Amino acid sequence: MSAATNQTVTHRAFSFGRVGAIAQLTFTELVRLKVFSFLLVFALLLIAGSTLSQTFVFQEEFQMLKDVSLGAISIFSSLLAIAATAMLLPRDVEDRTLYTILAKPVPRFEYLLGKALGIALMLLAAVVLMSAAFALTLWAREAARIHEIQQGMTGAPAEVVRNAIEGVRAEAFTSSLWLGIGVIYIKSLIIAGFTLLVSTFATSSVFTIMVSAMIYLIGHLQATVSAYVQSTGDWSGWGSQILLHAVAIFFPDLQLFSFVDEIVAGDSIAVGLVARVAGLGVVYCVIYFLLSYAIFSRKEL
Amino acid sequence: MFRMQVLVIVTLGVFGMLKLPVETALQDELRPREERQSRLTLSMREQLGQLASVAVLSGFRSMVAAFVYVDGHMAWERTEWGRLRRLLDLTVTLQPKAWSYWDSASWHMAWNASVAKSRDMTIPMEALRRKAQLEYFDLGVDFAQRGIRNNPTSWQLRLRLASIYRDKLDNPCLAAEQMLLGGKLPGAPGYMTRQGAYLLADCPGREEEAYKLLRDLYLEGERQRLPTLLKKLQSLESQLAIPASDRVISKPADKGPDATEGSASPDRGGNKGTQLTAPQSIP
Repeated sequence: MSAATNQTVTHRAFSFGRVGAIAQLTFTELVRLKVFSFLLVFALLLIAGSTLSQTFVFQEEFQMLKDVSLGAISIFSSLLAIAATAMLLPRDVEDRTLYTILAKPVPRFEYLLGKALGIALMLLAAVVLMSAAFALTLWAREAARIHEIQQGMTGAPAEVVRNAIEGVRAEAFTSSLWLGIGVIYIKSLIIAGFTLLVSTFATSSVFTIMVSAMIYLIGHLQATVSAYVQSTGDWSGWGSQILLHAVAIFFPDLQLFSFVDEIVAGDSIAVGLVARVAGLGVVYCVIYFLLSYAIFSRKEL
Repeated sequence: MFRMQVLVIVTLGVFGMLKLPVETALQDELRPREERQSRLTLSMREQLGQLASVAVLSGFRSMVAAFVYVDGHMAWERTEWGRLRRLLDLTVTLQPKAWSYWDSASWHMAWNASVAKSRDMTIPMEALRRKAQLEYFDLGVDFAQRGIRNNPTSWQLRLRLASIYRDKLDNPCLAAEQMLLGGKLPGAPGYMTRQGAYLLADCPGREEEAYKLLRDLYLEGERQRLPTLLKKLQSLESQLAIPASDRVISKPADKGPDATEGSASPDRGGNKGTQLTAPQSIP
């Protein structure tokens, strides 16, 4: 017998390789779930939509393009986060893939972490692709408007033409645009996070999707309701107070993770503020993941 | 398993209590509290419909505003002025930070709707048509003023308001005020201050103020010495009886058509002489 056959393979308690493999596999599966068909539809709608707004002045055209595009990126990434995450664990249980993987053995922590990273990668790919389609459309419309100015202002003083072109450029791409898209991505991760948490104890993916959708709506509404109650001083009943505080405590304030209104209005957003919001988002994701693992680790499969 | 679920709920609660002040502070920094209040009034809800209302409350305010604005554009094409006004009002309520919506609303009311009313032969009396026209002028002013309150740094809205005062309400004093205020805002085009000075020159009782402004603009250099400015300056120098030694524009050309106007300005070196020509249109 050779020396090589006498070697024993040491099983590592934690392996980035295993996590990476599961993440890659998850990403590939999710991408093959025709998710990119959604993106294609989105891109086509976007391009078609921008054609309709050509009759407006460029400020309005760019504003509407940003409104619709950023809103669509937000909606689609949220939908993808809920739908893709909700199906993740039930699908593996149904296909018996889960048992095969855990029997390798792959610790449950690594399995869940790999799945979570796969979802994060898929959402990143989705947001990047949608943002690229939006950026391309905005750039094309900006170029078209600049061309119109150059054609229509032949003979005008160079400074006037330059000012007009600068005006168009100022309305098109702004630095806060990319920060806002980054925050939309963070929001989609948070949504994926609480969807994963729900899926660890849910009995069906439909239940997971419904509950996650409700959390999504509550997350958007709770800040508005809270601000309204505080402004009107309508503290009617201690029950309402307790309910409001409970909602604010247990549900994420998703309105915080949307700068769309500010971006479209042209407000500059402080990088420090974005960093703190993103940091809070990451903390949310970590907490939801750890809680998901806590439940999943004791779940009878 | 039950114990684990209780642990999860407790953990979420503790985390929630820790993150709540952080979220509140971030929200206050990002958006003033009054902006976060629900402005989904009953009339807005009736106009928006259920799905759009849910979309607004779900954080897609700006997106809904865009679609409502497009709807308003179609109302304009069909000359449905009442509906246009309601839709524009809804648009600016949904997206108050977008100056272009306010500007567009003000323009539609003060120009398009007002002209339509002035030519509306279904209104039998000229006086009633004029009254309707004035009401739309007031609506245009109202949109511009509300827009300025929501967007205090927008020079475009000041320009719009000044245009209404100048072109529709024939009030050079108020127009001058808005032009000059707008000219000081960041990003404002240089012509706003100049236009404000021209309007101030036409405002009774403020000629001296206008003269000082025009003089300062003249002294800025060649770039500001446009025919209208020179003409206004010369006119004011005569009107205010400015001593010859203090004038920046020489006496009126009574020496013949070939005489070139000299200049007493300090930067004589760069000045090739101020020969008055026919006024050009100023943007």
